[in-house]
Amino acid sequence: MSIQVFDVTKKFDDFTALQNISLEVAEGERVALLGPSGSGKTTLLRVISGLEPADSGRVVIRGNEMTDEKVSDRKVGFVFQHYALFRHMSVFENVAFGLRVRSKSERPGNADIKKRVLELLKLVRLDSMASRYPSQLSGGQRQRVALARALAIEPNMLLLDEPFGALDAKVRRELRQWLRELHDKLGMTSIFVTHDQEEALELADRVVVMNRGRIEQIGTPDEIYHHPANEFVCEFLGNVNFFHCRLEGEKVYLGNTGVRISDKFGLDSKHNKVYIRPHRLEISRVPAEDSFGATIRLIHSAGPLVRVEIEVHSGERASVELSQERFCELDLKKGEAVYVVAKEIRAYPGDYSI
Amino acid sequence: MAGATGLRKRAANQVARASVTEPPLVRGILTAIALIFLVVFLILPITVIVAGALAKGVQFYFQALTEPVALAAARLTLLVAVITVPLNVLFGLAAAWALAKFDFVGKKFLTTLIDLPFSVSPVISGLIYVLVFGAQGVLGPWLQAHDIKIVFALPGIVLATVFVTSPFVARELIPLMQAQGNEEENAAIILGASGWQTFWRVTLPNIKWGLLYGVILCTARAMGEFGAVSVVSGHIRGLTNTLPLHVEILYNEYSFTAAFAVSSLLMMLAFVTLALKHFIEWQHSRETNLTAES
Repeated sequence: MSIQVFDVTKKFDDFTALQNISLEVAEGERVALLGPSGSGKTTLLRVISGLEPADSGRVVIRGNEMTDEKVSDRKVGFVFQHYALFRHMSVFENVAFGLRVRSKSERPGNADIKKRVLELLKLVRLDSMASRYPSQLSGGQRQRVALARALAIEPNMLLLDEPFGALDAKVRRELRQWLRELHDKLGMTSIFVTHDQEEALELADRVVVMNRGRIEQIGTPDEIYHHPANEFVCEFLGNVNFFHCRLEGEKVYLGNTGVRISDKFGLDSKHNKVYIRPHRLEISRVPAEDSFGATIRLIHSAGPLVRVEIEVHSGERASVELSQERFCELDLKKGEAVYVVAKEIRAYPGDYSI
Repeated sequence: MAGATGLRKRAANQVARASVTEPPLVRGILTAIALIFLVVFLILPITVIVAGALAKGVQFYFQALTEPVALAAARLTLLVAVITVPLNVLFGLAAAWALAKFDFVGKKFLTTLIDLPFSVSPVISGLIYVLVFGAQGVLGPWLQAHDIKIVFALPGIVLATVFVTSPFVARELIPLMQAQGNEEENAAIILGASGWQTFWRVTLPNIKWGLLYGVILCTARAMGEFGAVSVVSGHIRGLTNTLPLHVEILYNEYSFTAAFAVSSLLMMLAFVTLALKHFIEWQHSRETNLTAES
């Protein structure tokens, strides 16, 4: 195991940022800490790095107890959300910093430092920018300098705090892909914090979903997306329709009125909320078994998928995603009445009762 | 591209010129008021000082400056500045560091406290030390018993000057360091830098212009301070007189020419300060431009 966190708790005054967090990250693994702001993900990252001391619990890095070790002894590569580049130093000096501050006995010679820094700058494709200053770089370039600087000390692991948070959508996507390639090349254990589920699902080997200082679920992107452990994960991953439901005999009813849905999903009386992903709702012109009626309210057809907002007869709104082909086939118009079938339903015991 | 920008600039200038439509009379009056103000409050006094200083010829001027008492006053003034400024740099750095990088109880109170020397009359500042360390003061008997002289001696003058000039460096640095936060310091520490390395290589370079600016203001004030020093100095000629006090004594003795001659020294000090201040601002903006332009 590369990084082990045992039962870590951290409080800021009366706000509990982390509550009994335990986590293991394997060598070479890429883990995303995903959660809304205030969920404790950045605090966990800072506790692992040593920037923030934990109130209780232990941090072990590569089998070495690190709980009370100094930040500088942990050898972690940390990329800050706003990069925290040294503004008065050139790109070259920024990357060289970690080598220059070493004690005399460990410090490489000037020629070696130069070689190593230029290698790293080549790796992040900034070798032509060595003499520039941070303020002369674009956001994406700064991010790469920060990464090169973190890698210069040959860290045990890489910790990235919202690595793409401050970049625009296009640069984000490019950099994400590039970072994954780089990571595959280096094979370094890394943990990154994000509030963007798409980013987490795309980049990580495993995703840790956090909420209010606790871990809600740990799993591969597939597990997290297809088998969310609870309501929070289901809702946080986004793109989901939420309905109240009630059970009558063997039958499940959606919302307040008698819209019946399939009872083949094994719902019982504990369940009174259901979640249905937009692409797991199917629209048809003719009624089918377990279909329910709805009216089309809005159509967004720009994009690879067509998103249709429907109003179920119980009064609740939902969105449905279907392919362009299917959309053309059905020839849907705003205001039309259609039938909808739920192909998959996710239900959790809730506290809401009708 | 450059031509196009040039054209656009010219067009903008024309618009700007066209919008200045005040009649010549109003413009003339406004300019005149500003000029009269400058002449009456700045140029006239300076001319009077220079003229007064040279009233009895260049020889007398240098004589007034080189007489032993004047030289002693100049030496004392420099000595006080040399002791005061480093102390206040230390204090300013410590206070700004604490206020900008840490959260603690009483932070607001400390911020207010730092401004205290600005809001208290300098005479009071001097009097405080007389009341504490003077012969009739709280610690007076004990100090006398141990033969330690504070009031009416160098330590008292330094103490009063330190007090009066203490806000300069801190006031320059606090907003600067608060704006910069401590992310860069965290980055340095995580890269393996020690506390000292972080300070010398990251914090100090980031605040150097603000610090220099504060040092210059602090120095100027330390050399020019009159009120507080006047109370604690005791006006012993050749021993506890600083330049400003020396000017006062000369003036009171009706040696106007000598008083003006010594004043001209302090005036030159003001010019040097202004020049340095401009140089630093220019250097600073040049450096930011250099790092901001591609």
